[in-house]
Amino acid sequence: MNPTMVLCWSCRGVVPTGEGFCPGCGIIQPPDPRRDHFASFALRPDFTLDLAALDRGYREQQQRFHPDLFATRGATERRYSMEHVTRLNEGYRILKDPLLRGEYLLKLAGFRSQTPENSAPSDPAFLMEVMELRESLEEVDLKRGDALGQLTRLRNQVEEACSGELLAMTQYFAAWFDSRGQGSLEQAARHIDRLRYFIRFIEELDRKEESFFS
Amino acid sequence: MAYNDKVLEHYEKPRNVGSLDKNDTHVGTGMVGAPACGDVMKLQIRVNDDGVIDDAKFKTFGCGSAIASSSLVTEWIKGKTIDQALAIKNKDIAEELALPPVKIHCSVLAEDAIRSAVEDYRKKQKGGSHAP
Repeated sequence: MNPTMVLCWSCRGVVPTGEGFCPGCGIIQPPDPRRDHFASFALRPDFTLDLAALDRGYREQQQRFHPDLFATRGATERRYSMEHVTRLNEGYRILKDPLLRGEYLLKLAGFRSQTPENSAPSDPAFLMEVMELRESLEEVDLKRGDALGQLTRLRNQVEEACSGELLAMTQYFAAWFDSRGQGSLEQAARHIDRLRYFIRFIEELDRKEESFFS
Repeated sequence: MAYNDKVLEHYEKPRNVGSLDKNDTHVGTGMVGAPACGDVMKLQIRVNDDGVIDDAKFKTFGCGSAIASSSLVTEWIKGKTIDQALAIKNKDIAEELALPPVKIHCSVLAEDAIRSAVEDYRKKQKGGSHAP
């Protein structure tokens, strides 16, 4: 059997892989787990993404598979509808978020991030920078009048750093799709790691700011 | 999440939190991080003329297990020679704190921090006035 074809579970007719419905009998098919999330929304895999097109694709697909449309159908059809919608939600969540999208692209490219045990030592100067940011955040005294101002300054500084990492990710992923050089992928992964430190910092900052208002 | 008592003990009363003068030629500074979770750990050692670690300080921003691992390590390495300190393995730390499998990477981080601090110290010694 051609791997790009499957048999319809209902009428046993031939269905091209990835089709949501059987072309013969029109019955809903189970989602194809090998299909990547970009393809689910008819998008080209890339780090740079047209968010409006993602939203549009998401809405269109939701309208095709929404469980309400299958409420009066059999258990199998209802289950497949749920599976489609769950997968679409997961894909939307991943593609919408730049960090998750970057990690997902690495996964699609077959890039294995190193485990902590065998990873090369991280850049100590960068870690020092993160450490100093964390210390500055720790030292913000919420009882002082300018605490909120200090938190805002730290937030602006780190958000700017995040933008820098996103820009670098954009460039290295573009280079990867251009020439498939492993080096570009490694660089993209490095900037994803850096972004994760900064996002973690912003989470801590949010927590501190919240405790100020509560 | 249920933390082991020893983890809690170190987390609530961490030993040797702070900093040593990183420009001191007797001080080695180790900086390590866990990119998967964004934790950062700084471990500093001061080595006396007999090659014994006579002081150690740490600063860790991370989860309870990461803090406990680094706190424990500072206690263990004080009074040890550099080679004895390097012999400490993440397995020893994880066992002492009874870390669950998902927290093993915290003990790996602490082991890496010792190595990183020793490396920094040795680099300073080579580049310093004691060079032949």
